Amino acid sequence: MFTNRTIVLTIMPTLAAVLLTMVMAPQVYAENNHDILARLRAAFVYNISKFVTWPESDLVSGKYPFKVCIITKGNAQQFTELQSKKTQGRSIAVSVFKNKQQFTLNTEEEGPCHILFISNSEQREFSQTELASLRPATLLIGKSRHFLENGGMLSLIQVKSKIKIFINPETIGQSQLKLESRLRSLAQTL
Amino acid sequence: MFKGRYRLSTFKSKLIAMMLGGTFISLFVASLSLALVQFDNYRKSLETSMLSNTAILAFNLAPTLVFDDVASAKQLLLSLKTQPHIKVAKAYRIDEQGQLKQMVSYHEAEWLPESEHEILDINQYMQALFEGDDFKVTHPIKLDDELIGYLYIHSIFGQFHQFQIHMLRVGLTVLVISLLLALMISLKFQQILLRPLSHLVALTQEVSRHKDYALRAETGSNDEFSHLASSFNHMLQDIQTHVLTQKTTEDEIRQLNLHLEDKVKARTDELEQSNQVLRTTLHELNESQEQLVEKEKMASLGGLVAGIAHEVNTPIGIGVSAVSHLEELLKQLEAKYESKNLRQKDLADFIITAKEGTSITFNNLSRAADLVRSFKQVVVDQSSDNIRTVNVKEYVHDILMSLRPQLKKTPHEIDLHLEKNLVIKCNAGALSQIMTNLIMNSLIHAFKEGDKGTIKIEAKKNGNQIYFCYEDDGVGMPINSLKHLFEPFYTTRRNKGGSGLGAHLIYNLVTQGLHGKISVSNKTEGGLRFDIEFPDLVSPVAP
Repeated sequence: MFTNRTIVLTIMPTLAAVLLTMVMAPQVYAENNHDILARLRAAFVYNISKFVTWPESDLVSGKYPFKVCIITKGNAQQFTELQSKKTQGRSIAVSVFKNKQQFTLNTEEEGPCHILFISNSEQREFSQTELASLRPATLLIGKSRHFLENGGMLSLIQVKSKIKIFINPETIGQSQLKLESRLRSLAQTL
Repeated sequence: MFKGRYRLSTFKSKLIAMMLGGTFISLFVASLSLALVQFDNYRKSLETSMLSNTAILAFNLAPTLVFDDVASAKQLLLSLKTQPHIKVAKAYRIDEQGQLKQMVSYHEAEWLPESEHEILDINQYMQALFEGDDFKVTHPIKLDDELIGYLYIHSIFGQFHQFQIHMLRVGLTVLVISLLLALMISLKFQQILLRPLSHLVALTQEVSRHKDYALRAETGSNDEFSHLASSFNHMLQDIQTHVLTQKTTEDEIRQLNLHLEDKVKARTDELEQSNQVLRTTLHELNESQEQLVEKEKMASLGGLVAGIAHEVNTPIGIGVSAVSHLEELLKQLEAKYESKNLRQKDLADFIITAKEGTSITFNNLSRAADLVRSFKQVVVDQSSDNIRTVNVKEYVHDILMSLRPQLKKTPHEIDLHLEKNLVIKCNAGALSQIMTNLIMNSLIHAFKEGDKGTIKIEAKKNGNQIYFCYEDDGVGMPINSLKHLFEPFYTTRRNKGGSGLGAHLIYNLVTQGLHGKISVSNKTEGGLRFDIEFPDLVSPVAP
């Protein structure tokens, strides 16, 4: 928690540094900004897990770890670092998939994920129907408004130098998940 | 001032004061307790409400801290405007280095924030602090059991002070109204309560004024006053009975007094008559006593005479016998002479016998003459009150001589201690009778038969007073009898011929014949001792 919050809290000066770097060296800035935002999003995913209630099933029983699935072709190191943490009293297991097929195979074998974070490029692989089939038990988090419009539930969108939480109340309402009002009050609605 | 004190001292005033005092104390204590409880409850209620609100706010602030959403945090704190008593609210978060950093703060618009609110020690108000109207508390902000920050709130409860003033006003108002009600009730009740007492007081005054004990108090109810009235009625009944009895007794006394004088007069007459009879009887008794004493004297004298006669009879008889024998011898001598047969030897024998007879006759007659002389002097003295000069030693010898017939029959000894030339002037007859009676008493009463006793007589003169001490070593007398020894007719030998006048005669002779005094005592070694003291009449009695 502390580490993730630390990530969040250190974003501010870091972002300032990044902006400065963008002026000085655009190439270096692009690489650093990407890592910082990835770390920030990982922290957000971790903290969001604390404000969501999953439906009564094996997912909420204590015998399985809290499963976070990531679909990205990029670097997912910031997310895999979450495995050293706990949320809602359970250890976190992070599974990184390069594409939808890997993810689908895995879920068929090992069961659904609590949280599914999909990068922008991989969002296109999922149709609205496929996302809808995942919604009942999996919190679907993306990175764009488009993801929300396509059936996603939350998006961590960069607004200026900060990450903002956006939600699609319609898709959230269609799922069996419950977002705490505290989180809803912070989030912006699509 | 005096009137005020007097009024307060009445039962009515005390009753009212007691009721008002009791009401005031009870209400004051109750109001104070109630107010304190209310204050405490109100304070706890405010504290609980504040703690609850702080906890809710801290709960809602948690996501703003973790998602670094300062705007949302400010928005949350701005909601505190609805609670004007909250003057300051601050949210702190713990950064990655564990340092406490202020994230957002809120100050009520009209209330200037205090510099002290820059909290250095967040633990200072972890336990809510309520000082006067000020309430300060710090609440931890946690997420999933992890401490992520703190919320500090400072409130000023102006309404708490207003609540205290309000409670005070309400309490005072209730107190005043209650006291007024208590006063009204006590005034009404004291009339009801004191009515029987007033009636009782009026009744006592009526009884005291008119002495009418037939009056009675009312005893209608069953309270203490009724019991008092009942007791008072009982007391009146007793007094009435007592007064009636007293009146009856006084009437009887008055009636008795009317007859008392007559009775007293009659009794006085009776007493006078009795006194007269008694006086006559006493006179007769005195005369009888004097006669008896005189008879005793005479009896004593008679005894003396009989003794002396007997004593004189012997030498005279011997003389008569001697003379008769001489007469016989003379007749024989005469016959021999006339018959011419008288021989020389016969004459010589006659002469010798005649000498012896003459001598015997002379001696016996001389003895008889001595006896008669002594007897004559004693008898003369005893039969008269002749005051004359006597030689004490010789006179006592004469007395003992006169008692010789009695003394010679006994083995007792007379031990005399008399001054040789003690010559006094006194009633010698009285002295001889005293000595005679003392010796005769000792012979008759003091010594047991067969005992050999000693009678000691001592006489001396000191100045103008003569002291005789008469002692015997006989059986003495019991102390109770000794006290009555000189009383007339007192005798321990009533049935053995005692008249009870012997000692009384001695007493009379000492006191009246010698004008002296006599005392008797038991000797420690046994026997009686008589001490007789009387004046020598040679010279005038010393004053």
